[in-house]
Amino acid sequence: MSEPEYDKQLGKLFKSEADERLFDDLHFDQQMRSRVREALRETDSKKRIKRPGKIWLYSASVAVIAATIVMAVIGLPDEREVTIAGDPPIEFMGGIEMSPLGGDVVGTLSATEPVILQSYDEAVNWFGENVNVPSYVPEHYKLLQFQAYNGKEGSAAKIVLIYEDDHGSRFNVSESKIELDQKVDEYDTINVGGIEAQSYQDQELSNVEIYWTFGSRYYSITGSISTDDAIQIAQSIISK
Amino acid sequence: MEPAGQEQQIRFPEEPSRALEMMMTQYGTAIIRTAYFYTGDRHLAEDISQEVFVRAYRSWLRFRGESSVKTWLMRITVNLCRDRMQLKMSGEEPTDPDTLHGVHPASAEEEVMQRLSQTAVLQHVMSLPGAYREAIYLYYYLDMSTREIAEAIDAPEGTVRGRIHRAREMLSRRLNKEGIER
Repeated sequence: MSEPEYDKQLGKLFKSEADERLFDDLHFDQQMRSRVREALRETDSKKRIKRPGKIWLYSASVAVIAATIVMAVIGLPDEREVTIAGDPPIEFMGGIEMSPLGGDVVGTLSATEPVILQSYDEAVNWFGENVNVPSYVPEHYKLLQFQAYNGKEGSAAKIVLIYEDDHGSRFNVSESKIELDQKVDEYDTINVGGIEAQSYQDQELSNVEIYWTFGSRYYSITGSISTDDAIQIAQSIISK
Repeated sequence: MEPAGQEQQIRFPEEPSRALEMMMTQYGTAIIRTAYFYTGDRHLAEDISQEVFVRAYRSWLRFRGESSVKTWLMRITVNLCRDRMQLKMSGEEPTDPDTLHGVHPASAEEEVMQRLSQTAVLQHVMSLPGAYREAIYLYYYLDMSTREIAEAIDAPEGTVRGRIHRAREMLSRRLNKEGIER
């Protein structure tokens, strides 16, 4: 047997024996993927938690006591009823989808560091105006969190809603006061509820992007969903 | 000796979380298997592969593509395995390979060897000295070229070629004894 042939055989044999005997049931499965995401969420959360100094702690305690007394006297405020497809619960506190540098709790926002928000009301407070949310999302997708970008409370330029299904697939819905950064050069033009939109589908990544403008607002839907679903979600926002 | 295999040209997204998903899809199994190959401990392999992707995610924006993503991930994996196993395999060229200890601690080695009792080539590969075993695994199992292996284990390419050459000779001798001749 020639050297290259022997080499090839050796490699083939080693590979098949390793697959069969050593690694037979060892795969990087969904559970492992979830572990990675969870680890990222945990480290993100730790970064965001800042220890308050003693003065802040006392002030916070006084504020809580005062608020409790006031609420006991005047009663709890009415809760606003806002129906958002896939909402609630919001359990995710990390933000790996849109916060590569980690989130921040308070303060002015940079373009890349989002503030993680807990509710629709918070999103409206940060955006300074109503946020248009989809009334339809595909089954099994849950709303994970809101994120605010670019600005400060009351004037954030962009709000992102992140949805995730049971397998960790995600898509984002963004509403922005400034033009959104589109990722690729070539888009198809489609019609969504009478509005012209730009769409792109990456077959390899099972990734879809749809961008459109309505009034003075820029919108996008991006992530791991089908184009049909993305269009339906877009229509549910536009038809509001 | 070049090349064992060429990595497909895969375009990774710039956005870290999307890149992470793609890296896990493309290389997750190779990484967890590599960690298991080094450590012989499934739980440790899971921990290491998780850490690999956490680090890759955190470093993605700084990754300049000087090596392939696969090589970069393997380098992180190998370094983590070495850290965890407290070994310095590739830093020392074996002088008397047959007498050197392998990668695995006794208990992990037992587990691995138990799995190998009915194999031919694999059993002999696993009994090679650590640095040779590492080179053979990366070259044959992961289809990495000698240049990629050199980058992943931080060793000169000539050293990697030498290790693969000597490891093959050792394997060949051992297989010949069992009647598996070239």
